This record gives sequence, C-alpha cells and structure tokens, in this order.
Amino acid sequence: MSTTRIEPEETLDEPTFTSSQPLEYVPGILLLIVVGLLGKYAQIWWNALAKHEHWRVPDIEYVLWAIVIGLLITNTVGLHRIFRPGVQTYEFWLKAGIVVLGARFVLGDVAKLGGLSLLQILVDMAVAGTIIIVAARAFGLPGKLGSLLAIGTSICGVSAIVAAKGAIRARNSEVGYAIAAILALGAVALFVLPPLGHAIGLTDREFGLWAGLAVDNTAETTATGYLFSDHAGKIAVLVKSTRNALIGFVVLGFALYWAARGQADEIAPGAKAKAEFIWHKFPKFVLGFLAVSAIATAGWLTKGQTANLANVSKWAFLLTFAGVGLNTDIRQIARTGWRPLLVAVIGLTVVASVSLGIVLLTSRVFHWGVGA
Amino acid sequence: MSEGVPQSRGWRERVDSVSVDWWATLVAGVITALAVADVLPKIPW
Repeated sequence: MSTTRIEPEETLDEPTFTSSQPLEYVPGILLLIVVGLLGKYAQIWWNALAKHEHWRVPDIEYVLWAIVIGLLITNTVGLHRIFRPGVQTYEFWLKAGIVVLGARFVLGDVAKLGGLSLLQILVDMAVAGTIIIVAARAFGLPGKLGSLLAIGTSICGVSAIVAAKGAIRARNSEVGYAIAAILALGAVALFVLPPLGHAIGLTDREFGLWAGLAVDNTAETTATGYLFSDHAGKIAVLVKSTRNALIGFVVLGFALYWAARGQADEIAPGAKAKAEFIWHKFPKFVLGFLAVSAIATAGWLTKGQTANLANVSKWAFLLTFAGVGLNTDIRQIARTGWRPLLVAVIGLTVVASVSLGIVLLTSRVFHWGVGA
Repeated sequence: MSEGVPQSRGWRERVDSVSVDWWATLVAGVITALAVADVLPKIPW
C-alpha cells in the first residue's frame, strides 16, 4: 500500500490561477471591477432614489448588489470564457483582503477572539460533523461523500473539500457533488442569515461570530458578515480564519480513518510526516494576517495608513463579492441532484442552529469575551 | 535548440508552483510595507 506524499501540484485551493498568460486575466478582472463598482454605486443610487421618492425601503448593502449583479450576468447571458481566468481570481482578492485586514486587529484581540472561537469551533465541528455523517448514511450517500460534506460543512467549504480529495481518495463525482452542495448552501446562508440575525436582535459581535462559525465558504462568510455590518464582517473573517487553520487536523483525521479501512493511501508513519501533512494543508494567508496584525500591534502604522489599509481590504472584498456572484451557476447546482443537497441543507441547518446556540450561550449566559 | 527554453520553463514552473495563499500574502505584504513606510497614497472608499 502506498503512503501519501505531498505532491507539488496538489494545492489547497481551487484553481485560482488557471492561465500562465497574464493578459488572459485582464478581461475577467476588469469585469470584477465593473460589477463591484456597479454594486457599490447601486447602493448609493438606490438610497438616493428612495430618499427622492420618499420610499421607506431597507438599505441594500453594496455586498448584496455586487453579488446579485454577478448572479444575474452568469445565470442570464452567461459568462463568456474570455472572462473566466480573471473572474476565478476572486479567491486571490479575498485572501489578500484578509491579510491586509490584519491591520485592524491587535494581536491581543486576535488571541482573545481566536481562542474563544476555537473552543466554539471544536464543539460546533464535533456536533455538526457527527449529525451530517449520520444524515448522509440515512440518505444512503457513499461514506466518502458523507465525509466530504462533513468536512466542507463543519470546516472550510470548498478549500477543505479540495484538500481532503486526494487524502481520502474520493471520486471526482463525489467531490463535484460536495462542492456544488456547499456552494449552494453558501448562497442560501448569504441571503438568510443577515435578516435572521437582525430579527433575533444579535449584536455585531454575536453575528460576526455566528457567520464565522456557520457559513462554509470563506468568500460567502465574509459577504454574510459584511452584509450585517462592517464590524460583524471583520469578526466573521477572524473566526473563519481560525476555522480555516484547522483544515490540516480535520483532513488528517479523515485520511487516517479511511486509510485504516484500506480505502485511502496511508499517511507515512511518524510525527514529522503528520506535521508535514498539516503544514501542507495549512492556509498560509493566515500567517500573513497574523504578521500584518503584529505590525499594527507594534504601532508601526499611522492612523491614516491603518484607515488606508482598511480601504484596500474593502476594495479587495468588493472584487471577491462580484466574483462570488459571477461564479455561482444556479443551473449547475440544480444538476447535482436532490440527495447531496438535502444532506447539505440538513448540515447548514444543524451548523447554523448549533453555532447560534453556542454564540448565545457563551455571550449571553457565560458573558465570555463580551467587550473584547 | 535554445538553452533559454528549459530555463524559462523552470522559472515558469516555479512561479506556477507558488500557491494563491502565498501570492495573496506577498501582494498584501508589499501594500502593508508601503503603508509602514507611509508612502501608500490615500485610498478612498
């Protein structure tokens, strides 16, 4: 039996850079900018129109406008292949935006909030992961598809599924199902969680924690948080980054489980090989976020430059939100079939309920981290 | 056959093997370095 080695071509991420020709990225990146700007100005125009006409309408955030405009383009006229390489860079903008966002956090807050959310994540993962695996079995899904859905729903969406793919030797069809289900649920969470959060009366901090714990894909988590408020968005990004940092451990756990059943490559023995495995799966941009946060903590940034970096981060996220909409093909998701989607819906409901319970319990009953 | 071809291919392979996480960190790091040096121009929102 072979052992799992780290192959250079096996990467943690979706194929963000699909072309080796820099010019091929230009049309798609320009489209991201145009859709992002349309989203940003649509919010301003919408508010001005409502004021002029004396309408009493909700303020629709630029986040939602950018996503909806992107969704409309992809699902009506379609996305021409000339735009694909550039549009798929949205994960790059997301990660660059997160790294720069580190300037808004001092390391003490990162440690406090990261530590608190780590505990919440572990409880959430254990409860939600178990329920999803049981639900997958009950609906007769293959065991590995159940594992992929549990990894994707409890940890980190698409990146975790892609990271687990090679390690548990899942079939491409199973990976496709799991990714489609996670993306569909990310879109659902995006539209459902913010109004629900307002209806429940969550604070910015509570909603940020909830979005960070419950929404599977980092881009959708960021969008869901920012749809509620800027502060909730920042908290959601921090909690999600903590969740992302656990990818290696969870994937290693599932890889060992399937290897013990002879259905995946064995991990090379020894702590060093396991540490290498975890490092390989570790999302490296989290280190960048911590480094920028350390720079802010050391006081090397003026107030003006900190505000500047926060705006850079917002622009990067704007391109990400445009990319989320442009990359969501509803017809493709519908072709997945109802079973994986049903298990994923159960997963989202379970994760959202469990994580909301944890957030409310820790903040309102135990008063952990209140005022952090 | 030119010796430059395998060399440029090696360079391209190296560039391609850098993950998006590192690219994002690198670009964000350069922007942060400009901010630390106080030379990052004002970015409006």
